[in-house]
Amino acid sequence: MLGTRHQNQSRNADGDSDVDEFSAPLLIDNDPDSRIQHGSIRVCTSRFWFNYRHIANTLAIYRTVKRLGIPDSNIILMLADDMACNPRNKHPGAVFSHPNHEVDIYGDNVEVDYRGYEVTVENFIRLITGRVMPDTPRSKRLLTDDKSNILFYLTGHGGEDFLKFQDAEEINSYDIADAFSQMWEKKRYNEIMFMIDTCQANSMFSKFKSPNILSIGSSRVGESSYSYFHDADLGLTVIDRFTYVNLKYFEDIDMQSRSSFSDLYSTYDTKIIKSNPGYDTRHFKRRFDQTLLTDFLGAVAKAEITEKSYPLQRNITRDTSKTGSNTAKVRCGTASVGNAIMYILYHICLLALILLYLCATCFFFNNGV
Amino acid sequence: MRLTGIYLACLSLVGAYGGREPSQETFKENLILRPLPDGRLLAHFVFDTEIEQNQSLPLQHYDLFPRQISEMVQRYHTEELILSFTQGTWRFEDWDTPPINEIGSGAQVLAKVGSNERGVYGNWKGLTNALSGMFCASLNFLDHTNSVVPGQTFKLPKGSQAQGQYFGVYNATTLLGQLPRENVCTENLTPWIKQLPCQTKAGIAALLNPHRLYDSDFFSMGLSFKPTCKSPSCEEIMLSYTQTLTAVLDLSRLMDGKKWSLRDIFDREVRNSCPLARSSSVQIIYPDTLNLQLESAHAKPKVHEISSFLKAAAFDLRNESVLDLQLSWEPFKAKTDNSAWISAHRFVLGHGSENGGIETLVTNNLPMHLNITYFDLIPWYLHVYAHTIKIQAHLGNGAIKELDYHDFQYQQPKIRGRPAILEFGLTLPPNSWTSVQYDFDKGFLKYSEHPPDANRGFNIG
Repeated sequence: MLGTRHQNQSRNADGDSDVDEFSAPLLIDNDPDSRIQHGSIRVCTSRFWFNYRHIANTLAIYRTVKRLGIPDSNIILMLADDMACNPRNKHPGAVFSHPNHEVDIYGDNVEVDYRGYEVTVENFIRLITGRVMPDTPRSKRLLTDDKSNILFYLTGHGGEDFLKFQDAEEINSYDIADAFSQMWEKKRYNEIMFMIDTCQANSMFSKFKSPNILSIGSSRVGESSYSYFHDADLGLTVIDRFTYVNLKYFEDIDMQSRSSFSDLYSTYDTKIIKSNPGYDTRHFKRRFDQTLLTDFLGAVAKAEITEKSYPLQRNITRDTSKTGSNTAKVRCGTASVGNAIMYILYHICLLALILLYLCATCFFFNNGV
Repeated sequence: MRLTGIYLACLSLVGAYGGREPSQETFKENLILRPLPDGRLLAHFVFDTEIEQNQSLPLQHYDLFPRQISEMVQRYHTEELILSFTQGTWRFEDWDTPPINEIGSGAQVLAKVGSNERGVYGNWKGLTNALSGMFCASLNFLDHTNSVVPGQTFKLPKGSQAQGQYFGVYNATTLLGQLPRENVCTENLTPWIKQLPCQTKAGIAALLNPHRLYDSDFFSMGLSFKPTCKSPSCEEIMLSYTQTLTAVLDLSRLMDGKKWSLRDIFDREVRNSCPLARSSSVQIIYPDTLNLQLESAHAKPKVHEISSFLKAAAFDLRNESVLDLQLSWEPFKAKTDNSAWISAHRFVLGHGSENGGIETLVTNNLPMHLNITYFDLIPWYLHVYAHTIKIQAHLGNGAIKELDYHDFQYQQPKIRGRPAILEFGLTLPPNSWTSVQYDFDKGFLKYSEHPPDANRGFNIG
C-alpha cells in the first residue's frame, strides 16, 4: 500500500506561522549484516528561538538512537541554532521536550556535528553524497557503504515538495531524490529509512526513485503538521505531534525489540497527530510488517550461536573444497597455521643458537680447565 | 626445564634492551576560586599535561597526553596552538584582571604553523577543520576572509623554543583567526572533557557541571599546546598541553543564603583526586582584608600570602577523601591596587547601513606611563578610512591631549579576500583614559553573503 500520494489537494505552506513546520533530518546507519558500521545523522534546519520544538524533536530522536546503541561517532547531528545556551533559555544548558522538565534531552554528553550557519542545503547534500572538502574531519562525513542502513530524520518548516533550511533557502523533493540516487550509485547505503516531520511531509518522498528506501511522513499534501505541548515556563511549544507519537512508542522498545514498522504505524492516532501520516514502500523490498525498527534505530549485532565449537585448524584442509564463504575462512586459517609454523621455527632457531652458545662456553671452559 | 628458564631469561634480556624507555608524563589539576568584589565567584580550572620528548623523534609513546592533539599537531605541522571559546563580557571595573588573555566573545584560534608541501595556509585549513570536528564548532569557517598573519601583538614569544626543527616544522608562521559569532555550549565542553585523563569521574573535573557553568555571567574555555626546550641545546623538549576553563558565577542569583558549599555552587561534589594526577589542588584566593569564612569537616587548608594584599588557602586533594568546602563572605570594595591595571571597551558609532565608526576606550589605572600595542582585526566589508584615526587621551586633571602613535601598520582589506589589520603602539599617560576612533563605510553585500539571521546584524569582533 502506498499511503502517501495524495496530490489532489495541493496547497502551499504559506500560512505556516501558526502551524508547526520545522525540519531536522536524522540519518541512522545501521549495518546488521556485517556488524561493522552503525551510524546516524540528524539535522535540524530551523533557526530562531521560537523554533525550539524543532531542536527538541531532533535531540529526542538523537537520545533514542543513542540509547539503542548507536555511538556518537556514527551519528551526524545538524542543529541550525543553539537553544540550550540561547540567552532566552531560562534553563541554560538544557532542552526539554515535555513541560514536566523531567528529562533534559540535551544533557551532559552531546556532540553536534554541523551547527549554526553550517546547516545549509549544500552541506547536507555534500554530506550524504560524500562530496565534501578534502580537509573535512571524520565527524562531518557520512562514512557508510553498501552494507549500511541509514535513518534520516528531518524536521522543520516546509510545504509541498520543499523543506526550508534556516528560513533562508529550501531543499526540494527532487534534490533529495537525486541525492539518494547518487548515494545508491556510489554504494553508500544498503537501506534507508526516511522519516520527516513537516507540513505536507509526504510530498518530500514522492519523488524517490532509488531502491531500498522506506519513508514515513507526518502529513499528506495539503495538510499541516502541528505542534504539541506548550510550555508556559519557557513560553513556547516544545515538541511536534508526529514526533511525540513516535517517541512515545520508541520509549518502550529496547535493543532486543521485535517491533516492526507496522506496529509503529498502527499506533498513529490521527486525533492526536491532527494530520494523516503516510508511508511509502514502493522502493522497499522487505515487508513493512516484517521490518524491525531496530534495523534502523539501533545498533544491534546479530550473534549466531552454534551447537558445536568451530574447528579452527585440523579440519581446515578438508573444508577447502566447500562454499565460497568457507574458502575465505580457510585462507585465514592456512595463513595462521603458516604463521604458527614460522613462529615455532624462529624460536627453535633461537633455542639452537642459545644451546650452541652454552655448548661453546662449556667447551672453552672445559678446555681452559 | 632449566634450559627453558635460561631461554626465557635471555629473551627477556633482549626485550629489556630492545624496548624504549617510556616518556615522562605528568598531569596536574588545579582549581582557583576567587570571591569577586560584587559578590560573584570566579572559578578557574587548569588541567596541565606535560610530556618529555626528544625533538628529533615523532611523538608516539604516551598515556596521558591526548592522542587527538598529538596526531593533529604532527599532521598539520603545528608548533604552537591556542584555542578559546568565550561567552559574556569581562567587567574589568568589578572583577579585576582576568586570569586568561582570551576574553573576546566568540572563538579564537592562534597557531604557529609550519610550511610543507601543503603550504602554511593548507596546514592552517587542515588544523582549523580538525579542531572543528574535534570540538563540535564551526571553526572550519576560518578561511582567508577572517584569518590574518598578525604583526607584533600576537607574535608568540620566541624564548627557548625548538625553532625550525620540531616535528619537522620549518618557517613557522603565526596565524590568527576570529569568529565573534561562535557560541559555546555543552557540545563544545563534552569533547573538551573527554581529553582529561579522568574525565569527570574523579578530581576537580567532577565539578564541571554544564548546567551551572553555562548559567554564568562570563564563560571561557580554552586550550594551549606549547613546546619548550629543556636544555640549551634543545635536544630534549617539554610538550605542554593546558586546558583552562573560567566561569564567573552569580551565587546570589543561583541560590539563597550567604553560605555556599562547593556542592551548592556546582551541584556536584569532589569525591577524590584523579589518581593519574601528580598534583591536585583547590586554591581560594582572596584579599587579606576580606573576612572569608572557610569551613571543612575533613580538610585543613594551608593559608599563605601570595602578595602584599592577597592570601591563598590551599587544599591538597590527594590527602582528602571528600572536599566538603563551605565559603561565605560579605561583598567588599576592591582596593585600587587590586583592580585591573588596564581595561578596554570597544563599541560601534553611527547608525544606518551606509557608514559608521568604531571607538575604543582604553583606561590606564596605574600612576605611570604604560606602553601598549593597539590591534584591530576589521572584516573586509567595513572599509576603514585610515586618515580618520583620532587618538585622544583624557588626563586625570580633565585636560585632553592628542596622542601620537608609533610603529603604525595597516593592512589594506581586499573585498571578499582578506580583512584589514590596524596596529600601532601607544604610550598611555598615567591615570587616564584614551579614545581611539576611526570611521568606515559599510560595504555592499550580495544577498547570498548575508547570514540567515541578518536581522540581528553582524558581529565585527
